[in-house]
Amino acid sequence: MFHWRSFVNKFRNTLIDMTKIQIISVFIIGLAVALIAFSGKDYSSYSTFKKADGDRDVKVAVALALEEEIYYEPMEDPNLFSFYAIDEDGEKMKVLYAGAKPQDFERSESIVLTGKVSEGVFEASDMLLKCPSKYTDEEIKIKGEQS
Amino acid sequence: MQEIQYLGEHLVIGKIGHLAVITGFVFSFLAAFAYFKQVNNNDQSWHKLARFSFSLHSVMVFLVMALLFVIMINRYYEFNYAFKNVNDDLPFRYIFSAFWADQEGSFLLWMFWHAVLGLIILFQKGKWEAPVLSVLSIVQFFMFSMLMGVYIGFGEYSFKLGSNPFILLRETMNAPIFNNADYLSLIEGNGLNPLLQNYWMTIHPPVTFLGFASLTIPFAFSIAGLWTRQHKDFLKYVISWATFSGGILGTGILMGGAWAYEALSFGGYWAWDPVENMSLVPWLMLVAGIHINLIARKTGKSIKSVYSFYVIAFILITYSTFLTRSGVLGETSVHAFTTMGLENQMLIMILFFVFGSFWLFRIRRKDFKTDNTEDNLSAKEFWMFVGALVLAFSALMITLSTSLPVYNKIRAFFQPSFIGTVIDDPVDYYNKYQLWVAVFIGLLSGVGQYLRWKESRFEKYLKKFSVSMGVSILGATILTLLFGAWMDMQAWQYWVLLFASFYTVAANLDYMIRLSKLNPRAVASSLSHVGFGIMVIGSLASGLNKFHISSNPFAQRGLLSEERLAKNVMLFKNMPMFMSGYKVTYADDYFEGNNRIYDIKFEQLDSMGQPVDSFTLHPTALYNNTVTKVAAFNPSTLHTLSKDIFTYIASIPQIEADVEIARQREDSMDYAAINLMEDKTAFFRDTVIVGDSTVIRSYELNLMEVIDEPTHPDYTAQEGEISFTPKISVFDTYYDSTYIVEPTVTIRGQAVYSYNVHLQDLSLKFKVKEDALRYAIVMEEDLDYKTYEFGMGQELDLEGHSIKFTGFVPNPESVDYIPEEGDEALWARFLIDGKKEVKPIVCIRGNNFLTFKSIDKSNGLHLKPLRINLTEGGKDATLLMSIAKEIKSEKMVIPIGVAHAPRTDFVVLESIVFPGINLFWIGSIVMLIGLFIGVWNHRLRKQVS
Repeated sequence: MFHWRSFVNKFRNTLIDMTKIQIISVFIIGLAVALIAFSGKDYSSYSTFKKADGDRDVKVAVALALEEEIYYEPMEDPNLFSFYAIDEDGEKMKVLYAGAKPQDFERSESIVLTGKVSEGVFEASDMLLKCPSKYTDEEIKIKGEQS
Repeated sequence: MQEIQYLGEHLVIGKIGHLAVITGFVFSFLAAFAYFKQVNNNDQSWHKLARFSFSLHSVMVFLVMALLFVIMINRYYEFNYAFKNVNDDLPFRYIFSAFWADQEGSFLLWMFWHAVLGLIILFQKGKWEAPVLSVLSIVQFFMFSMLMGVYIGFGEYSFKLGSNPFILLRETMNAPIFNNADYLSLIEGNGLNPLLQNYWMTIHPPVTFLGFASLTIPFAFSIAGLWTRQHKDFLKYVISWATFSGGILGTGILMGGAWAYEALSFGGYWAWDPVENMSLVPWLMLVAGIHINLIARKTGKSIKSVYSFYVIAFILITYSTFLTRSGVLGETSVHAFTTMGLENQMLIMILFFVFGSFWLFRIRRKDFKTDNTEDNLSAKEFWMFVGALVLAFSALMITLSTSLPVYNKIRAFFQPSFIGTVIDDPVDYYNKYQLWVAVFIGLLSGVGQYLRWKESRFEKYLKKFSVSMGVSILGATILTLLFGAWMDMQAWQYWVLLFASFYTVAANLDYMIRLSKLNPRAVASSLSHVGFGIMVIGSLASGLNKFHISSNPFAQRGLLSEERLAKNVMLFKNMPMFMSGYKVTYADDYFEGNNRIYDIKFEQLDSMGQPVDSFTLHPTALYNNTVTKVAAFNPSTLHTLSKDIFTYIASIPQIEADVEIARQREDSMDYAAINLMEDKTAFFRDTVIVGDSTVIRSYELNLMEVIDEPTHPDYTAQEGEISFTPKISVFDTYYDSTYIVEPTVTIRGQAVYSYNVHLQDLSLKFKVKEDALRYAIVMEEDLDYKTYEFGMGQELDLEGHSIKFTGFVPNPESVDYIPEEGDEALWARFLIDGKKEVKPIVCIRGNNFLTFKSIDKSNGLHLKPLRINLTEGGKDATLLMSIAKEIKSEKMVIPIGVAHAPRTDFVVLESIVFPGINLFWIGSIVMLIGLFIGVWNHRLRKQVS
């Protein structure tokens, strides 16, 4: 049989007996969880080009469209790099990035872009490249083949 | 199918290695069991077996490591580990880096340190040896299980335990090459990622893994303390191990930051990358635990909290390694290994220790009576505990945020349509919260020093306390205002943080010097806090006030709608650019091994444009082993007292970065055909597209002469070749400037080599065509040789030229003459028309007289020595020469090619100034010194007590 009153008493006594330190500890854990849970605007879901036309930066996971132009002419502008990317919905869009073309860019398996769409073009403030891992390579290079 | 007998495999070493793993696995369990029995039954007869088992398991760890090293050093590619991580060209010093670059090797490194630390405890023969090593052995047992590579079956169901480091390549995959018995002679390993081929990869992992391994010891002590109920004694012994671990792990983390700053391109030392975060989090809990440990020793209270913090710190390490090795971090981290498939095993290990610890806490809960005495807010221990809680808060926040990918995975499991969430801007996000953590730590670590343990008469102490507070607040305020004048603080929160940091510096220095008179215990804690404060100040200075020298004023041209910071600038060779108060010049580039080093010269200018400082930085492009393609770019940083200047090459022309592309470009280059004739000007028109318009530039080409020795930088003379080099003047009609180019074409055997000249300034490329070689090939039979005798210094007029024999010159060198021992060889030096030098060679080899003729190509003169005549008495010598002049039947028509070739003599550079960054390094080092002084203090105290 559940003794309601003694349960309440026990709970109240625990609270009264809690030292300041214990109260602070509980508060800290609660604060941490609350800050994380309610800081919604610091997070974004992986988005698509269609949903990226708001004010905030979003993250879009894309694949590189190799058949389209990949443009980087440092003599024209060393801080302008453009290429075409395809998002998870299959939509293809031009991407502009204010920086240099990363080494081995064409070999990226997938890219996570951070930015937003503006006038039909995705302006990326950041790019994270995922390159194919050497270790999952099913081929074994034959010595001497590389020259 | 017939069993294939493979050639050249060294299977025995792999079998021994695997056996060693299994032996270690068995004996680590036996050690745990034997120590357990010894403690539980208070039975010393188990002691010998326990020590033997532990020692043997340690030997197995060392043996496995040694065998794996042997396999890697000898490039036994039949073993998967060697195939994945080593190749033929890997320099020996990077074999260590390669060893722990991969999963199995890094596990072994960790277990190695466990074994070493365990053996130290074993040899100390203390009363804690048994319980502590029992726990440590269990940890090793779990780790050995990660390396077993053994199949365990229950009826139909079987699973694989661990991954054998000695597995053969052909056991990991099915490829047609393994049908060949001699496959080993055909394959080469993958080698080590070029970014890991540096000295940091040799030193950072061992230190960091020692940090991880040493964290197991306080954990083992905690379990041991709870188990044997020696709570007071536990506090005394664990503190020195905990502070040692804090110092080493802190050093390892700092090294990681230093490596990132020195060698990586993002321009910083901390990126809040998940792997970085998860090595920091256990350290934070450990430091918190150390503080509570000190409290418990002084007051006898909070012992349960000491246990909790050390246990949680260890659990966090196991969680950290799970995140790093399981592949769940995937796209969110640049550090993470590719998965080894051991996620389940690691989860089981974590759960075992979590539930095991919980259970132990529960059965021992009666040892810890709840203390209902009021918390004394004027007592040191209260605020120290608050400080520990702040550190725990920080650790909790970082862990939760970093575990977002885990949350995504779990939620997606239950809700398949869930698309993962990700943190927008990690740096902003973490800094936002951790800033306040740092503020609290700064304030608490300052004020806390002025409070006293178990304070009972604070009213009496209040005056002294107020004086101290006054001194430290005044000091901090002055320093903050001074510093804030030098740096741009940008926001009020940073002012608060700056003050808190200066506060702990001021308060701790005051406490250490004035109040404690440099007592060693005070020095340890004060230095740590001062170091922390300086570290934060350095972080503020270099973070808030960093700026790009390389901001390009002509960026974007309105193509991007927002103001995005332009980070890069393009530099043409030898053309200085002025930016942000600096004159920057790309001066030179050259190869050292497969590193291409760029000399970038900086001159800092004052407001009048006069140089006040100058230095050269050397960022590099690291090419792959065959020097055909760029693998990575490495930065170069100037370190001065007040700032660092970080320079990094963001991009170089594609044809410089990739030999393949250079080849393709050259093959597709459109050369216009032009015939050059003596005394006749040829014209070339170049059509250039500049922006939206087209520009036509005209050039006048003239053949000046044919020169003897090619001047092309890529050309090296070889025996038996014939080459032709016209000297061509190029006159740019637009700028009225003249350039000289000397392209070469060479035939060696059957192959023709073309050394083309790229005139960067005009974006033109010149080549001389193969047909021109007919002017270089003159048949000996067609030449009409006549004999002449030359005395020393004699000049003769022959064939329309004045030819003077000036004498013999020793030590001749020529492509055709290969010196042998015992040779007596000389150049015979001739001067043609008073200016042109021709030097045929004479050589006495044994009984033979050898001669090598020399050709003056521009005048068409062939000089062949015949004999040296000695006069009577041997004093004077005359030289008998055979000389012929080529007859030019026709005027030369030299076919050349001219093409438009955009210039490639540039680099794209990023350059950042980090003011005050030295404070960050100095601060961190001071903090670690404080920790190590603490280790020293505790050891001394233990010996005394």
